Parts: sequence; structure tokens; C-alpha cells
Amino acid sequence: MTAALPRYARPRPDRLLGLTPAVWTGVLAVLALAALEVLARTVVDPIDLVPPTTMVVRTAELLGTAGFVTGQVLPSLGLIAAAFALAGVAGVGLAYTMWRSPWWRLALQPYLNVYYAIPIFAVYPILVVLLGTGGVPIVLLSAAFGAVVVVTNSLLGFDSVPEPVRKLARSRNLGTRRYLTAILLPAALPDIASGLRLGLVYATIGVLATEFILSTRGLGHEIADAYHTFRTADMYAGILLICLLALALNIAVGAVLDRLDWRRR
Amino acid sequence: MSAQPLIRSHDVTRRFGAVEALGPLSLHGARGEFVSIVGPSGCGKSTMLEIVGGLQRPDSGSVFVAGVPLEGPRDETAIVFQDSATLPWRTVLDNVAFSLEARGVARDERRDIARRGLETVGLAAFAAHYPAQLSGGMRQRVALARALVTEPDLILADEPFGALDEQTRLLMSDELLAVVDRLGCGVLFITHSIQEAVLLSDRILVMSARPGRIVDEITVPLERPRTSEVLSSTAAAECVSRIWALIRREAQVAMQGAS
Repeated sequence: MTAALPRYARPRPDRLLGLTPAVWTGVLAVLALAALEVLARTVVDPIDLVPPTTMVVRTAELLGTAGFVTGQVLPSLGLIAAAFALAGVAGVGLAYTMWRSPWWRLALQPYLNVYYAIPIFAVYPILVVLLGTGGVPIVLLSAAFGAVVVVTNSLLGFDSVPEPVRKLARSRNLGTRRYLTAILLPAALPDIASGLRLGLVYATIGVLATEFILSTRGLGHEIADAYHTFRTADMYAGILLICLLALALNIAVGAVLDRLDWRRR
Repeated sequence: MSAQPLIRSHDVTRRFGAVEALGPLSLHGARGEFVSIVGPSGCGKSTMLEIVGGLQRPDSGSVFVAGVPLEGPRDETAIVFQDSATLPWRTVLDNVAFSLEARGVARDERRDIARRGLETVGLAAFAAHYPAQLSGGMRQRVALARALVTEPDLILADEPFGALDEQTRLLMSDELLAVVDRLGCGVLFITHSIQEAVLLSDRILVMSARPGRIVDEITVPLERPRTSEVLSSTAAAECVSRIWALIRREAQVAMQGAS
């Protein structure tokens, strides 16, 4: 709730031991990593659980390896970007058609309600049969995984235009296109942004998980390959890299999307 | 005051399903005339206003505005709603400029006009603020400025001050009177407040319980220009008392119908 308040109305955060909640977030991460380090070096076999410091070193080494960034990291990021863009455009577009047509919305709504109950990765072999291996089935599957959350959030946004504003628009004789650009999209933007944030998460999961299963390159494939060939340090380094990339991606895109959210001003 | 008819409706009716909401109802209003409609809750006041604004179509009867049969919303009619209907993602300035933007006025020109509109309602200093940063009264002034910058010949107001506290309501009434006197436009004003109707209006139409019809028409015997100070006069008090006597019976009928 607090995040939806305008900036000037948000309460100042309480401090504990003189530290703000933001600092505590960092402290908790450092403590967790320290505990993992101690655990890996004292109790668990370092072959099974690689210490975080070793993970960091190995990640840096991998990033310095010729062809790793261009052959593994960039293709994964490219697929995530493509899946995210497709999920966003298709999700907002489908939501708009549903908002425009009540019968279409009623017809589709039951599918949306049960969509995430179906394990979508199960259809990956079908996509491979139809489209072959490579980026296309990964992007399609990941976009399909992320689009529905964009649809549901966009619909929420489109439905949120208050009645007086709708009447105001009608009284000014706004046409369909003008209503879309001047009223509907700006009003729905905060909810669309929330949907896109989640859509990015789903697209990232979709791409990496699909690469893990069947791809011949990419970060997901790299982790699976390291796992199958007992390169434990590489596997942990890959996992750390994925976590860091996903986090950075989420923060960067989130910062852009936050700028669209007028409720935060 | 010009005698040229601005609004003329004849035997307007409106149903919602099985419910007869309105009419048959006939009313008229002239340019420069301030006409208020008062009546019990649910009598169809807002429905009538939306019909005159072209937002709803009557089931039967006719509506003419400026001598032309009404087919839909007119560019020359401005509507002020009870909830200010400000656009929270736009600054105050761009909210006021919205009506001009809808008409296709160029960006710089509409912003200049909007600035002057904000000066009229005393909000020039808040041009760069967002509606969430304003009080309810200030947001309503933004809505009023947005209506006025189009220089309408007719203002339709649906309880625009209904959500405001008493002192803000009186101050806003003074502002509205001053602006309307200057523009010389016609006003059709819906209100629950009899005092507000007496303060603002040249004529007051009293509506019956649903289906709403005009049961009486009162010409307010107060000189214009006026300010809220006239409410303490004997003439205003007598007018309020007379209207209340008319409304009381209708309000009781409406309450019995609702229970």
C-alpha cells in the first residue's frame, strides 16, 4: 500500500540499530552469504557446495573466457528481451481486445483463470517438432508463459478508469484512438507496468528453464552441461551469474517502469 | 439577460429497465441564465443533466440546445461533475488544457489558455502540481477551470461542490458566479443544497420523486451580481423556506418509495 502513496505522503522509514531498512536488506544478504561460506568450508563437502567466494572467482573467470559472453550470456539475454517484448505487446494487445469486447472477454476469461495451472513447459517438445530447436520455440514458450500476467494486470488497469473520467471523455467527443492514448493507456499504465514487471520475471524463468531442458547454448544450457559433466564450480558460477543478471535486469527494467507509474509521484 | 433560448426540452422521459426514472419533463433555459434543479435523491436530476449534455439519449421527447436538436455531446457545452474527474497522471496545467487538446488546439496555445484559466480560479501557483497534491476544493477548481477555458455557451454542473466543506462550497459558489457573470453563458446546475441553489440561481426547478418531473419553478428574487453574503438576507431565507416546503413532501415520498 505504501508504495502507491505519493512520495510526499510516504512515511519515513523506521531505523533499527541506526540502520534503515534498505541497509538491513544488504546486511541480511551479506550475513546469508557469510553463513553459506562457513557452511561450505566447514560442514559440507566443497565439491557439493561451492563457497560463495569461489563462485565469484569462477564467475569472473567464466566471464573472461573467450566466447562465453558472446556464446552463452548474450544469446540468453537476447531471448529474454525478445520474449519479454512479445509478452508485453501481445499481453497488452490481447487485454485491449478483451476490454473492448465483453463477449470476447467472457469467452477467454475461463482460460486465463486456469492458465497457470497447466505446466506450459510440457508443450516444449511439440514446439520443437513444429519449429525445430533454436531461439524461436524458446521465445514463443517464454512469451506465452509471461503474457497472461500482463493480460490480467492490463485488464485491471483498463477497468480502473473512474466513471467521471469516462463521462468527461465522452463529453469531449474523444474518438476511440484519442481515448486510448489520452485516457485509457495513461490510466492503466501503473497496472500495465506491474504486469510487465512480472512478465519480465516469467520471461526470464521461461528462457532459462527452456534452455536448461533442450537448448544447445545459452546460460541455462551451460548450467545443465556443467551439472551433467560434474563441473560443480562452473554450475554454481552459472547459477550465481543467472541470479545476478536476473536481479540487475529486474532492477533496471523496474526503474524504467516505475517512471511510468504516476501513483508514485 | 438575453431572451434567446439556449436549452429547450419537451416531454423527455427515460427508463432503466422496468424503472421509470424520469419524466415526462420539460424545461428551458436562456443564455446568461443560471437555472438550478433541486429534488429528492434518485429523482433523475443527474439523468436529465446527462441528457442535456448528450451523454444519454431520452427514450422519448426532444432536446434542443442553441436551437439545434441534440444528437450527442456538443463542443460548446462544458460539464463539471461531482467528482472532479481530474486526470491524476497529468499536471494541473495539462488537466486544464485537456478540453482544448480534445479540440485539437496546438500545445503552446492551449497551455497559454490553460495558464489564464488557472489564474481565473486562483491556482496559477499550482500549475506543475499533480491532482493528488491538491485538496478536494482545489481539484474542483481545476475541473471548473477546465470547463471554462473552452469558453462554453452552456455549463452543466452535477453537484460540483457536493463533496466540499461548507466554507469552500461558499467560496467556490462566489467564484462560479463571478466567472459565469463574466462569460455570460447559460448554466444548468444540479444540487442537493437549497441554499446553494438560492445563492446561485436565477430560477430554481423543483423536481418530484421518481419518475422525476418539474413540480414547481421559483424565480429567485435576488439582484445579480451576488456573493454568498446575500444568503443572510430575508428574501433569501424566505426563498429557501419555500423551496424546502416543496421538497420536503417529495423527499418523504422518495423515502417511502425506497423503504
